[in-house]
Amino acid sequence: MLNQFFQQLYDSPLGTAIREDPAYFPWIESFHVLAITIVVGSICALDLRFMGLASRQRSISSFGAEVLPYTVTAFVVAAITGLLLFSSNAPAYAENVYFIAKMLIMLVALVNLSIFHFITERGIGQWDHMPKPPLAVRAAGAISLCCWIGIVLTGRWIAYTE
Amino acid sequence: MSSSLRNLSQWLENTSLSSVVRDIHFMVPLLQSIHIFSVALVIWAALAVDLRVLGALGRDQPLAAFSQRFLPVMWWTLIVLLISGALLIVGEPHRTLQNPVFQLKMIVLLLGMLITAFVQSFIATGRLALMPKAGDGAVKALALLSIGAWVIIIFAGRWIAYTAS
Repeated sequence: MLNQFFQQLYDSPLGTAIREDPAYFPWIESFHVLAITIVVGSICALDLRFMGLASRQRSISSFGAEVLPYTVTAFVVAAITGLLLFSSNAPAYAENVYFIAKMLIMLVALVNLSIFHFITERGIGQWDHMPKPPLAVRAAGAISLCCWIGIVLTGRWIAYTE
Repeated sequence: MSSSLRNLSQWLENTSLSSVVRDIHFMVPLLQSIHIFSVALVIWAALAVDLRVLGALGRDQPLAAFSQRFLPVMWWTLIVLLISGALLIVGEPHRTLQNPVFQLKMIVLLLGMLITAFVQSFIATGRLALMPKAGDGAVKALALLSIGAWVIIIFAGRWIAYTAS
């Protein structure tokens, strides 16, 4: 059923246009890379704060509040452009081991974020201003940082397969 | 100009470092990944300071304190960015040095770094340090130019792969 959906994406006017026009793919890719640099750069800056390695004098809540609107906006752009790129060759990407790995690492990042948001963050009153937060917070930052490094690596490697 | 660039490319291509980058099959994508990751850190740091100057980020923090959080990371990561970029050039000199989009990227990169250093020196002199909300007009214009430069750098970087040298 999923394969059928990927084939429909491939055959859709949008997927066909992106595949056949020589300029569409690189333009969409440029916006995708721009969005990814903002997502990765801003999240990693926050991860380093979680780990107690940067912006140590800034409270975590105010750092998060100032950064997240940009992160979320850039993530939406990255997701939309990523879906457009995917549609140009959906069945092949769906079987590409690096593409699958990239999606799985994004899932791990999401689980890590959810655990932080729903469990760890409840105690923020105690460590919001700490230059070096407790282990659970530092671990959340380290896991996220590793995930985003993995996402960049697997993303780049997609182009070197097939 | 173009013939000396050709000679330089040829010379680089004959170095043993160039063949190391070319012949180890995972080297180019690995260097590209390191390059993109450092681009992400550098760009976010530069953008954050630009946005602060424009009054769009961290308005409750003085400009000097705000930029102090980002600019050290930016200049250190810039070194990783330049080394990984230089190795990619050494590995594929013809595809890069003689590519017009690559040349554009280098010029804008130079401008972007100059503008950022300029904004930073404005902040360091303390003239803007205590500004509660945003910088003055001239510095704001520089911040906008800096954002534009980084966007062009990213786009040009991607288009090198699609342009014949």
